Amino acid sequence: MGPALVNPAAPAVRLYQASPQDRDRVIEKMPPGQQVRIRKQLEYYDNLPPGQKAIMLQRVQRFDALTPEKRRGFAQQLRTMNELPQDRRQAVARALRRLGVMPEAQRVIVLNSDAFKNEFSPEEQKIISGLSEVMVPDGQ
Amino acid sequence: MKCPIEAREDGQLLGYCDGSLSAERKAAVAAHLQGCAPCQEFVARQSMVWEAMDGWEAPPVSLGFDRRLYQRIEQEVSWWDLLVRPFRPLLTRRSVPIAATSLLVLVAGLMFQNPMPVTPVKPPASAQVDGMPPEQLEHVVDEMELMREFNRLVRVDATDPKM
Repeated sequence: MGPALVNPAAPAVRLYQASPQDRDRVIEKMPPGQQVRIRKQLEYYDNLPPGQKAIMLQRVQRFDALTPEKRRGFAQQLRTMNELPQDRRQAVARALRRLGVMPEAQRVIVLNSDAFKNEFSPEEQKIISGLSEVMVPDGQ
Repeated sequence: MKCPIEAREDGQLLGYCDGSLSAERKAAVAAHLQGCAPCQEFVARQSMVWEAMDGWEAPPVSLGFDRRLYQRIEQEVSWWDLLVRPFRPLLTRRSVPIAATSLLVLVAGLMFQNPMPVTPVKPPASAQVDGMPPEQLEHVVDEMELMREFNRLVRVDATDPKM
C-alpha cells in the first residue's frame, strides 16, 4: 500500500501522487531546463520508502499552507542552517527531529523553555522555530 | 544487517522499540542503529510516541455516566425505526420471502424495460494535475527542491549527498 493520500491541494503533492502519464502531460509543457529539474525531484520522491514518502507529502502540504512571507523565511532559515558548522547543524537537525514528533502545543512549550534557549544560540533558535513549521507529527 | 528502512521492514524497528525482539535480533538492530541515522530517527520518533502514550492517563468517567448513556440510547430512535415500526407485524417470517421475491421480480422488470446506460469506467484516478499553469509549475519545482534539501538536512548530515 502506498503512502496515505493527504489533501491533494498542494500542486507539488498532486504531482508526486500523479501517475507517470499524468506527470508527463504536465511536464511536457514546461521549459526543458525545468523538465530536468522536476524529473529529478520526482525520481527522488519515487525512490523514497513509503514512510518517508508520507512524511514528505505532509511536509510539502504544510509548506504550501504557509503564508508567502513564512515560506520565504523558511527558505532563508534553510540556507542559514546549511551554513552552520557541522556539529551545530547536527544539533539543530536533532532538535528538529525531536520537535517533529511533538504536537503543536508541546512544540511551543519546548521552543520557549529555558533549556532550549540555553542550548541554542538566538540564530539557531530562529532556524529551528522557522523550519519546524513544516514538521508534522505522524498521524496528523 | 540490512537497513530495515531500506528493506521496508519497519517491524524490526518497532519490535526493537517495544522490546519484543529476541536478544539476538535486538543486538543486531542495536548494532545497525549505531551507524544508521534514518533508523536512529525512526527509533527516536517511536520512543517519543511510546513515552507520550505511557504518560497519558484517561480522564476519569463522571458519576452517572452509564445511566445517562443508556437513557440517551433509549431516547434516540432512528428515522428508519420510526418508519418501519407500523409495518413490523406484517414482516413476519412467512411474508418476508414473498415480499422479497415480489420486489425482485418488480426490479428485474423495471431494469428490463429501462436498461441502465453503460458509462465508461474511468481508470483509477491519480491525483489531478491537469490545468496547472506554467508559473505555478515553476514554484512547484522550487518547492520540491527546497523540501528535498530540508529532508536531507534533517535526516542525515554526512551520509546523504547533496542535490
